[in-house]
Amino acid sequence: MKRILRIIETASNIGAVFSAIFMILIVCLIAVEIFLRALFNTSTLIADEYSAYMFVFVVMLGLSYTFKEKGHIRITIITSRLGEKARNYLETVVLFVVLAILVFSIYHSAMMVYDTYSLDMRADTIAETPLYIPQIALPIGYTIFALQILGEILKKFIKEDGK
Amino acid sequence: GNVKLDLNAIYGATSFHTQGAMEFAKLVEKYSNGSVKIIVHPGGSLGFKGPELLKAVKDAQVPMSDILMGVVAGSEHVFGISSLPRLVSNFKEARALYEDCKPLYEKAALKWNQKFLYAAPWPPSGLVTKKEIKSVADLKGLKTRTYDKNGAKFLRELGGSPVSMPWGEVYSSLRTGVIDSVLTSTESAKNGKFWEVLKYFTNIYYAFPLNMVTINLDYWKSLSKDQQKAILKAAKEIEEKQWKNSEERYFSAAEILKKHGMVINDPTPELVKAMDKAAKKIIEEFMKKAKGKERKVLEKYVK
Amino acid sequence: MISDPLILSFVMFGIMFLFLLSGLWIGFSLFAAAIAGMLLYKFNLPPTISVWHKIGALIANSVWNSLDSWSLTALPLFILMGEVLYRTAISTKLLNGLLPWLTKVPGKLLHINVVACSLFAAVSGSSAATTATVGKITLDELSKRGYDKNLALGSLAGAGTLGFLIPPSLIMIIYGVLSDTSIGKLFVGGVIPGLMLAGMYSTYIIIVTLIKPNVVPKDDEEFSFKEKIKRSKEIFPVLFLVFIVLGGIYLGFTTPTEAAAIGVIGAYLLAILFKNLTWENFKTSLLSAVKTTCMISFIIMGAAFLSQVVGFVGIARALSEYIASLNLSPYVLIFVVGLMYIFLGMILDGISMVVMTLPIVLPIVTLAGFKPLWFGIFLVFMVELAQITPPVGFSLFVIQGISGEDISKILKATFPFFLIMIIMVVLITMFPEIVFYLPQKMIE
Ligand code: NA
Ligand code: NA
Repeated sequence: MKRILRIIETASNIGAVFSAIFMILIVCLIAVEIFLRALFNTSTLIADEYSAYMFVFVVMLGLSYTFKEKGHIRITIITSRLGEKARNYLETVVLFVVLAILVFSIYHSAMMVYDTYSLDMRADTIAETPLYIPQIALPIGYTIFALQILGEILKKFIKEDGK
Repeated sequence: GNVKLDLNAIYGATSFHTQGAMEFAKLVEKYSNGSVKIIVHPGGSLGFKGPELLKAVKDAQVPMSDILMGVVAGSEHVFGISSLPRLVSNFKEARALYEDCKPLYEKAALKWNQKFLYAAPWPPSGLVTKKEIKSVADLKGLKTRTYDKNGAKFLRELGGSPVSMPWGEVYSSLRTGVIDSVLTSTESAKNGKFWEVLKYFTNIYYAFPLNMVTINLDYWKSLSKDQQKAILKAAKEIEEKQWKNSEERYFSAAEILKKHGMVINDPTPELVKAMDKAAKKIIEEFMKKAKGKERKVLEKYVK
Repeated sequence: MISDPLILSFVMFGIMFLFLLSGLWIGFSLFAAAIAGMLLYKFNLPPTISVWHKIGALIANSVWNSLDSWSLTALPLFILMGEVLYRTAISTKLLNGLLPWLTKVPGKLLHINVVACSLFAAVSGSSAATTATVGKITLDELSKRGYDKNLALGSLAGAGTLGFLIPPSLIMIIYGVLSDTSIGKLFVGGVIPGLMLAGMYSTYIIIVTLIKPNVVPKDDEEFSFKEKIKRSKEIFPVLFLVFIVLGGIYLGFTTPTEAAAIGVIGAYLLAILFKNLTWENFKTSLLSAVKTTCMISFIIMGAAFLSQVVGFVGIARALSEYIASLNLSPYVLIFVVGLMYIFLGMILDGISMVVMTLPIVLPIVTLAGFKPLWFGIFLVFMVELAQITPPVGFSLFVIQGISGEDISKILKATFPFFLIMIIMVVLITMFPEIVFYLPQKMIE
């Protein structure tokens, strides 16, 4: 069980590393664009398109890590006043709601990627990028996120067993 | 029974195509005796952007939408025709091309699980610049905002350095000098009040991009025969009106630009020649992927 | 099944609160409320289409659309810039350098949020980026030095929204195009109200300090003029950064979005220059930026889908139409319109709010005698207010993310600044010249 949890955490961490790498790549791409325009009076013609794609990766790959590090916000006015048992119960229910939304999103974003791929949909830009490539960030990111939630739920049950 | 249909409109409520869609909705309500109510959601307020719209209507995410054909050309080749540069050079030719292509558009729409209702052109794009454009040499190094890949290729071919950026950044970029020109219509130049930042409008009749309205087939089939008839009748009427409007708007917007001190020029014969040469390259590349009937139609128009 | 948009809007609102209070993360609460709204709404779907499929496809598409956005890419970059300045102690230098000049001003360094946000607003078109960057630089420093947390948090929330009012401004550009108003005039029209608002924030800080002197740490350090000059050197690195970012924009080298990348590179260069850039610093600044970016973006994703549902259901439209049907006198009308925007601002993001209501609201407002230019500035204020009202208030989330404070504490701290903004709205309504003065000068 511990091993599963460790694997899940590693997945979230790897996601965060890639998220950070994409952030740096955005900076580099925009810098190149400015440089080309200012010095050589030319343009990459893809800087805006590709930095937006990379931003999608930054967000989707970092969601799970952010959750692990307690970065997502919630309102605790009520929950913080509950007794420990009630709070634990409520948190488990909430985690299941989250899992349901994520699984639903995984399925439908994967459907979107599949459609975009099989219908050969491309961006209306000079690069004519096949859109499924940047869109694939969605199901990947959701999946890592869902795993992290699953781990969180497992932890809740282990804790109860421990008592 | 009574039906309510949402129609996604990409452009703002004052835009000429959105106004057309609103009028279409009114006509449909009238002809169907109030049994079909179309609700137009302007300004992309339903959260759609454009390139995904063929698919969005196909999956019935939204029952109806207006779609700029060029934006979905990456999904369906034939929708790229109307945004080819200088394939036609006036409204009459543009209309003829549209009538020739209509069966192709209808067929392509069916393939994407939707019914093609009507289409009308944007007023043609011209070159809006800070300095006067008299010859090809004046285009050299011009930092022009273009709205699609053809525009970028076209201007690059002519020696310019096209820039791609969202419409929302155009005005301030013109002001600060990140760009110095825009490829757009008199109508959009008027709406953006470009006389505050630019001086010349060159009538290059770059293209007559079509905007179409379609409806999801599942929704379409769920309508009664009378309701379908009412929609088609309204579509036909609106199409005529929008074609006429587009032409009128082009000139009335030009008048407004003039009133605010902009200078409107026709291109010199030398420039026309160079532009046709540049356009030909793009059209030929487009033709490589055109087959069957699409090819036949195009061959009729290539000079 | 509910077909009345107004009833449905209240039901959705209730469901959202239920989820929020049960401790469901904010982004997920928005998704959940929106899904509930879709399920409850009477859609009249043809039998061949399942509502679950429709919801799923819409979620996938709206999430993709909300993230695949060029203007949003500036957000992580500005956040990263703030992180680098913070991790490498360049922000400490800035405050050290400013302190000697502010010892005589009641409130001292508490004014830094107001000043820094006004300055940064001239770089960034969005309030979230302004709040995140400035907050990262100032919040920790202020509390370390013993300044009152409430005033620090509140002034950051209030002043951060200046990002929309001081040009360049994303909202003004959108409004300008939709309403056929000159974007240039809107930009210029926002300057005086923006500076006045900043001035009022500072005045408030001064008043509070005079009443309760303990909000500012007691150190009666006196600085000689020589000392002041010596310490001021510490401001230069940040001034240099502001100069290259602002210079890039106003000299025409970069668009505001691109300027963010210059800011990041500049911040790293400074860090190297001061020999502060360790591998550890580099890593934590990036991961921290990832965390803040993802937190905000996840809420943006949820808000995008919720806005889409609100659009389908026609809530904003129904409200606007209802108000139009009341035939109110001009001032009552603008009061009611203001209330409507405050309500909508609680659940929608600024851009959706403007796009959904404008087609109906603008004609009735202009008919009542208000000028579109003035209404544009009014609307920017409404969008700014929406940034700091719960449950969907992006500035609040950003501050929560960078400070780790409880949201209810942030809300309490923000409230006085919310009221000041309302006073400012009343002022521009009573004296529209505040808005018109500069644009008129521009024509002459
Ligand atoms: Na700004
Ligand atoms: Na809000």
